[in-house]
Amino acid sequence: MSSPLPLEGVRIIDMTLAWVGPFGTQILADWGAEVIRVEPISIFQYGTRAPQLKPINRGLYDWASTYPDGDPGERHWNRNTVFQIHGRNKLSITSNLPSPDIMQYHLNLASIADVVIENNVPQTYNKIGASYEQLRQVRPDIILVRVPAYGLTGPYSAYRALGPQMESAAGHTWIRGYRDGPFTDAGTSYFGDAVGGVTEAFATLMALCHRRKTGQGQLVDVATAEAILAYLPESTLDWQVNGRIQSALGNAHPSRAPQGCYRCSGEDNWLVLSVGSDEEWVGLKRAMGNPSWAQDPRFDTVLGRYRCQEEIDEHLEEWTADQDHIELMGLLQSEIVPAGAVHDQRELYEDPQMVARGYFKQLEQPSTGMHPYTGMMWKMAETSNGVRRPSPMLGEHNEYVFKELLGLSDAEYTGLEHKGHVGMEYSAQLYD
Amino acid sequence: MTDNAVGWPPPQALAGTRVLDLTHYAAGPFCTKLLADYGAETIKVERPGSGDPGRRMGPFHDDLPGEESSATFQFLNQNKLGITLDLKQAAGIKLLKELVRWADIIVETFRPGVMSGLGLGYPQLKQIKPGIILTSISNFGQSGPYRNHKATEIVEYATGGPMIFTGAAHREPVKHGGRVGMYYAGQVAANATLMALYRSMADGGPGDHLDVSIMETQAGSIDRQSALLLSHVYRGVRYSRFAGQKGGFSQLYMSKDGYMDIQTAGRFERLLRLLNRPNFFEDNGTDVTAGIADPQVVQKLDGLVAEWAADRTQVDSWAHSQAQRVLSAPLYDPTGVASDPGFHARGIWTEVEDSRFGQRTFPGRHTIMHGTPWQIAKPAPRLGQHNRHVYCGMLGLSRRELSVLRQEGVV
Repeated sequence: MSSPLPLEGVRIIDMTLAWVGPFGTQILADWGAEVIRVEPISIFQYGTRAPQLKPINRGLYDWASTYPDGDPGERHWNRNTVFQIHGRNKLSITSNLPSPDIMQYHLNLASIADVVIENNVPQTYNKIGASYEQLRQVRPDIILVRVPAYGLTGPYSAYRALGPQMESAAGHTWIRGYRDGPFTDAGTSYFGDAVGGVTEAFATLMALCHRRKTGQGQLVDVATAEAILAYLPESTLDWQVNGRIQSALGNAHPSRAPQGCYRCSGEDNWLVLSVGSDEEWVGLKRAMGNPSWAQDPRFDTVLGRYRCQEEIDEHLEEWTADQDHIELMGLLQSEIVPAGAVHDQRELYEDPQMVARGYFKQLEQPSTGMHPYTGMMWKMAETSNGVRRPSPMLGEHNEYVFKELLGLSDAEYTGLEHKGHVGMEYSAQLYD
Repeated sequence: MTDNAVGWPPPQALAGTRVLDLTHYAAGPFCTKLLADYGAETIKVERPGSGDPGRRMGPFHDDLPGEESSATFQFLNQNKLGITLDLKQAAGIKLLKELVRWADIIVETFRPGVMSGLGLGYPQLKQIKPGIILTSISNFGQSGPYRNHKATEIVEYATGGPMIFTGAAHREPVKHGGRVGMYYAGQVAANATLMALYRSMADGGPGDHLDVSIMETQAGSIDRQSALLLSHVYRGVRYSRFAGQKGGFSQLYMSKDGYMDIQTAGRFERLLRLLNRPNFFEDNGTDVTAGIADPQVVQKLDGLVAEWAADRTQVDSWAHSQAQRVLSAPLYDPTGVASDPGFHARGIWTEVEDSRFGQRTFPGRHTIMHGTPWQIAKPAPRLGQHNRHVYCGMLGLSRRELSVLRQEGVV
């Protein structure tokens, strides 16, 4: 545990919003980069620190984005779940956007940065007026990473999207969800934001490696929709090489059977299992106590099981229906059958594997108290794996960044305040 | 086949980095693919005879399964050199150790404990090659009671947590499409690898062992899951699947040639401008806040969006709605994705020439790095294609020695 964090000494100016951009900088901050979030207080960045400026109770619709006990409390933007997660390990300063001196404000920050990252639609960042070339004049080896939905060029560069829209355009919505259900039944779980975030971090890391080798920075253009598309080779290639249009498979697998999600005892409890080889099938039969239905010779081969999947599924659900999903996971795994409980949140916190690996980290945030947070995305054997600090309050590090890092005098700092750059609350006009 | 955005051939970001690839199936190969696509010199080691089981993942060219015809395998292994090596024989381990000396990075997806069993655990590797970076990708991590548990993608999605809230309230939880969870884990592992690489590039920078648990990559995903876990402790509520639609809106609307995904909830002033009904709420004797809480008003507005969309093609309604800054996108099927002019204009598709199948179109570039391009320099290796290149050319074996190893089934 003696090595320094990998990105120690790397300073990142983080102008990201929503979920994609901040998730990428979360990964970089987790592993040691000094990430300084620049957050406008003259506009409210929808869905970043909270869904909206004036919290309204939308019940469960705000499920992934809520407050302790459902109470927004004082300065609710410091207390909403989403920001609590991706804001950790970062610093926060504020800005007045747009203001006449915003370009100078931005260039001053760039001059002390290794990397600038933003994921606005391109025209928003362009409005600041600072191009990559201008950044290079204040910091010759600067890395500028821009993460718009469809890239900096092409006919859709100005288009706006969140995860769901990018997944639709890239072809994921088409193949996800139930085999026999409407697209809308697939629910509201998306992976596109996460893909954009890890791609943003990946591109940044490559640029950092190249800079360490050559001393050269560069401009990087990450289109989240394109990154999502690269995660779908099965369906895109089946079209390209066979002219086939794949559709949603639900929980089934293209070659393994039975594979599915089966109801267990209790309310909304489920087990998934996946059988491929004959050995796994024999294991499953043993786990079930070798019932007579499973001795049917039609089920003895991979192809037979594939053809009879629906019939097998019915039997399986009869077997699982009055059993505990977590106990069944253990039983099936002991018979070498890939299987897992569909964990809810409490079960995941209490899961023996997560507990044994110390995955969750207790962290005290001044305005919400002590809570368990998701841990690092991987473990490093020779490096500390802790979360260093909770998410920052809006503007918490204005003095540190402007006075200590940029060396502004008290008078200059007051000047920033007068221009509306510095504050710990959103501008009063926003409430009109 | 170089990146369109770069008209001259500058070096790639990871040129000069050497990766020993001991991975199979999807997650590991996607990790090393990302490194190889951006210039890392990558040697993929496969079992003699059968090779990476990923060679048997569909779809296959012209629907003909065979170890050289998996399009998915090819996508995942372009840009890599391919060799075969039997790690169950002492001679195989000896050769592998020579490759360890060559490598900066090793990526492996064996069951936890297998590498140690072969005498190739991180402590031993560190002795063979000081500063080595070892990235281990496994179902549940290198430690803990589930370390030997088996999994396919659906098991990771279930145990890692996101599956419970994916799907419809009245039905069973459902997984995402394709193998996206595995590719995601692969890219997380690529991030982990580059973190360690960046540090090791400093003077005297140390190596490390990176332990990537696919289950944990799901548990920590920003896509609702990590925030939802915190919501659970904030409110004591169990979050499961929603009943029906988002806030009463359809979100998907049928246009002339396919569905449009239009985000209706949220910025209503933009939506109403798009529909040319700026006073919709007033016309219905209400305002935004009260209106969106009234199912009848919501239904009416939803109907207006449906009518609007029905009149237009996907690309048309996409352009119109974006002009009003309404979040929207076509719900493309694979044909739609393949023929979309925007993706084409950005050079997202790549033609790869392969002696086995001729020219084929693959999904390609991830990211445009203006100083250090992406490229596909070579198609995926045939099983053992680069044995002579690696064993004779790089490790200095004579062709006679290679022939002995072949006869003994080591390569």
